[in-house]
Amino acid sequence: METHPLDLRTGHFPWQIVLLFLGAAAISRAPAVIVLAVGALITWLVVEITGRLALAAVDARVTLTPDRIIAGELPIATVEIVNRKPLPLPWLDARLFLAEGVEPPKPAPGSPRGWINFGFPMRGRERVVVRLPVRVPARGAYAIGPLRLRAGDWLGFTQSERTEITAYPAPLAVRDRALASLRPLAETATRRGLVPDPLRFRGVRPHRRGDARKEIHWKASARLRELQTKLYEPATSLDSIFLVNVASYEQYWIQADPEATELVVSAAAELIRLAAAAGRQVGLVTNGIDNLTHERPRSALGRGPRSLTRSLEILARLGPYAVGAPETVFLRERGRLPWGATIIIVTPRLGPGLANAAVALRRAHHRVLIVSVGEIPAALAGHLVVQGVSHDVLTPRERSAAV
Amino acid sequence: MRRSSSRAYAALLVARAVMEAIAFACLLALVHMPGGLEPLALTPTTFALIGATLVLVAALRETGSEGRGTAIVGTTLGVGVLVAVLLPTHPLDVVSWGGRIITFVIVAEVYLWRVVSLARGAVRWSDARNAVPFGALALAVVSVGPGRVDSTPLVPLALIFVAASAVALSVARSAE
Repeated sequence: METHPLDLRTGHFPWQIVLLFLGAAAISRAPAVIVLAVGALITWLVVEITGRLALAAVDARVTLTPDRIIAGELPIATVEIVNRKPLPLPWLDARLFLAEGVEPPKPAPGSPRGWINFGFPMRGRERVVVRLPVRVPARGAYAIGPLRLRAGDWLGFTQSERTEITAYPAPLAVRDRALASLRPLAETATRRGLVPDPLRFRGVRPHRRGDARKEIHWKASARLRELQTKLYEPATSLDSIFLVNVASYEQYWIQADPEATELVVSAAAELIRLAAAAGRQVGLVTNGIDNLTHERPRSALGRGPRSLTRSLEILARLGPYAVGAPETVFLRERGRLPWGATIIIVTPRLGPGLANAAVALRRAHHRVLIVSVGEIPAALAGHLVVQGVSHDVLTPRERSAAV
Repeated sequence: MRRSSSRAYAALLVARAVMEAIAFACLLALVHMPGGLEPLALTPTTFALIGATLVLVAALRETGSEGRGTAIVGTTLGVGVLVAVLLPTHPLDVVSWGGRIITFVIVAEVYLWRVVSLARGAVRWSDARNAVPFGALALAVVSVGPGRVDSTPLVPLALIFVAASAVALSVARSAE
């Protein structure tokens, strides 16, 4: 059983008193003084041994459940402390540090908000689980921890302290619980398909020159004594790529509007949820910066909960600052977008540059929908309609619901 | 207060009361030595002081009026004088009587001061730590002192004192 290399030991036992009593016992040889001297010596030994082993074989782990939440919910930070040695600990103090943006659920006036304290004695080979609710009031990605443990010898003369530096999960919050559903995504036009779906057999028609031989329906041809070609249902790609613009102003490098960004993030999150719930593949491209990694995040097209989680995680960690003009970033991504995918541009405002980018994407055979927080100028709206780009504006009710 | 906490608190109070009783029994034996006819019997004195300490702690924990506090101080003074007078002594002159009464009163007041600190802050680890050298020193002085003392119970008292100190320190640290 060894002490932990990260343990910090403070306090000391007054060994001078022990030596004094030992000296007095040696000189006086009085039985009571000898008893006191031996008692002091044993006490010193107990303090040294139990002090050195205080935090040895003590493991702590912090988990957070759920680690993805709606802002305002109370995730539970579960602290599990295990004393693996047979020696009990008469006292153990723990302090769980909380990052900015995470706080105790009901902090008393004057009490610190940056951490939660708790403590208890522990028996040998005991495991204690403490569940601490924490509050995450705003959207973001937060790391909780570290966890500081303090214990000491059995008599309280020395204290050992250790700060557990482990990886803590980041609770994520997306502030969009009350956002009303956005109807534009319901426009899933499948009447005119871009590609026929070989799984959706519709019927046959007489064979024409140029029809592929593999498309000939041989049984029907034999029955009708004439070559017949298979027909399929037209199908459209259900892939949805969300282009999220966080730049609220034309001069994105100078100004940022966090409130507009919040609305964009909320709207995008809701749209992505709707798309995922409809069984679509979703992907996300943005010109914003991840608050933790300080890089421009991206979610590849995918179906299922993992892709949805990744997209929501990106949105949760998105800051209000853009790395570039939306049209530049989105057009640069054009070559990586799946052919025929539906493009949904969510933006705080629509300028001529972004509108032209949307038209360019439409010309590249994508169905394009623009969802804007701000009003779209009439001339620009008319131009978009002519070019076959759908657009929609968040209503004031939706805006107020999102904030 | 949870049951386990109240149990720990009771253990702490008893341990501290035992420590203080042993220390003051030794102090009384010391101040009784010069004029006393017989050495002070340490075991009954210790038991009496344990009982008195627990009763006083219970009384002093209640928030009382100023008059009640004065009464407690006055009673302690009176008890100090009474003990000084009632314990059998050699024939003493006036100066010796005066000196004896004053030392007994001082010991009584120091005892009261210690009990007040015990009643109002029993869980303070630093108080428990300070009580250890105080009691040990009193025991050592009585043991090695030149006068006649009741030395028979000193070894068991020393053992009990060491054990009570360990309990008091440990419980005070965990309860603090």
